[in-house]
Amino acid sequence: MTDAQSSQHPELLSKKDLLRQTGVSYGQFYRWKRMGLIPESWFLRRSTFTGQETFLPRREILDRISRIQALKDDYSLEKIAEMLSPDVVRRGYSMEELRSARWASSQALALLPAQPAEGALGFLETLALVLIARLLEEGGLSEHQVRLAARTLLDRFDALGEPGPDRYLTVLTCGEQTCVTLRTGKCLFDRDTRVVAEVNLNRLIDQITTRLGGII
Amino acid sequence: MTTEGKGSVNISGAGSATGGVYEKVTISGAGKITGDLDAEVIRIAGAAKITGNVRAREFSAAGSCRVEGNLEGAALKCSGAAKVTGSVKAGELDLAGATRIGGGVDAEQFHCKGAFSIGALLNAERIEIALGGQSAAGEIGGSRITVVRGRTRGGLLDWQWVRQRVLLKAECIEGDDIYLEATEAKAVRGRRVQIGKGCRIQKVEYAESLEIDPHAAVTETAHTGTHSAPPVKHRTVEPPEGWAWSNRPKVWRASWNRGKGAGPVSRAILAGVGVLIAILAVGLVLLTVLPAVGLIVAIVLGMVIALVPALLLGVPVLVALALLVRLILLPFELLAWLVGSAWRRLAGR
Repeated sequence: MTDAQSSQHPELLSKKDLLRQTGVSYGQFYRWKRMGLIPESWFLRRSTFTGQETFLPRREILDRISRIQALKDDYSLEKIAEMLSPDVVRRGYSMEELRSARWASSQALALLPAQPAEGALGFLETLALVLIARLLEEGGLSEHQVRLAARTLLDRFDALGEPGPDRYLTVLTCGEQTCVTLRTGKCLFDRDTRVVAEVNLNRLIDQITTRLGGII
Repeated sequence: MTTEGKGSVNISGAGSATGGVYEKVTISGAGKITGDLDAEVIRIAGAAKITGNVRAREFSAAGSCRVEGNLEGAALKCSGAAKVTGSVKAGELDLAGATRIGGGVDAEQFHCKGAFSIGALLNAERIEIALGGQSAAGEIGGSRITVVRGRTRGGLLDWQWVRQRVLLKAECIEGDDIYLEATEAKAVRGRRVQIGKGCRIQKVEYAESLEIDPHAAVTETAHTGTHSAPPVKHRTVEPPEGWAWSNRPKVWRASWNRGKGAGPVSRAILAGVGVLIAILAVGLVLLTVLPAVGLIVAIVLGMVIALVPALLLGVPVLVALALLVRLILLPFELLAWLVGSAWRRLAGR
């Protein structure tokens, strides 16, 4: 039954199968739904041959459940709801906060295309800074490539649209040339192109809100 | 709206007020509030209508209350007849009597004595329902769900032929620990599931244990856990602790689906009365034409017709009622016979 349904809608997962896969109980699931940890818009009612069933978008819900499970021992459900809510993500952060999270090293700050105003960074600048810190940590990239990635993020991130599906930033090289892509969903490159670094921006934003809090 | 200098609204007798932010709102008698209402405490006794969303830390309504919008609060209490056209969000929600909610319900604690109708999902950590009439919810989900048949109060309204069927209808019910009585659902899914008396469930899915009462009908069962399936126990299901029959709250019979949920008995009685009247008419015709035979036929037939449903159903009240009807009719029949024979005598002359 599970196979038949998943082949019909591979991007959907029935609530029943979700709970079985993740080991989440009905009580927990309804509690999370009540607290707003699972958006109402994710619930899709479809009729199957066993009657009406509720389906959820597979990747989003599995991702969400694993995040809740990772956070639930350290934070209250109310706090997690604040972290997950997309409309509170965009806030600025003070330099002290960023230093305490070890993202604001002098090396990383130097690579930021525009130097921040005194003492604080906007949301997008923070994201760029955290991206730089991440790329430096991973290594294998030249300063020029890191700077290019940061500038692309600052320039084009808003054009990616609403938070929802996973958003990626990829640094590619083709011979001597370096290029940076921002995208959602799958992307395949030709044989000569080498992926130097790939970062899931949604995860990065999650890290920021988890470590620094998302409330204004 | 400003939150500074919050005043209070007090309506006693009949009156109306505009919505807004208040410290305390009290209505005793009949009151109407137009617009959204936000208050620390709202107390209603009598009849109230609020045209807008209502938010309160503490909300209590006794009598009749109508909210045309959403209702939200930490502690909400409704007794009597309550209607909310939108959805309800509460820490603790206490319902007694008949409640109708157009949207869904989100609560930590949901307690209900009586009948309710919820348009969408009823989602609460703990759900306790003592049924007192025909109730319905789109879906029910939570951690612990207990549905029992309430003890109904006696009195005229509790007679078999007047009362509503006690029944909860829901599309699907999902929870960790589930105990159900008098419930009709397409699917019940849970960890530990008990299906008690008077249930009709199409499919039950369970992970740890499943008990089904002999007086319940379940079409299909399935085991969903990762371990091997524990056997389904078919035996008399005992209600959870604290829900023994003698401990149950007494509930008034009430329903939001008046007429639709009338018991089979009341329908039979209506049909019986119809037939009785027809027989009487035939009896009267016979009496005037063939008095002696007609009298016997009318009495015997009337007796049988009135007694059949009562005897079939074996309800003492009904038997008594049928005999009473018979006794009341007897003098009329005798009168008809006398008139009939007098008319014959006159006609003979």
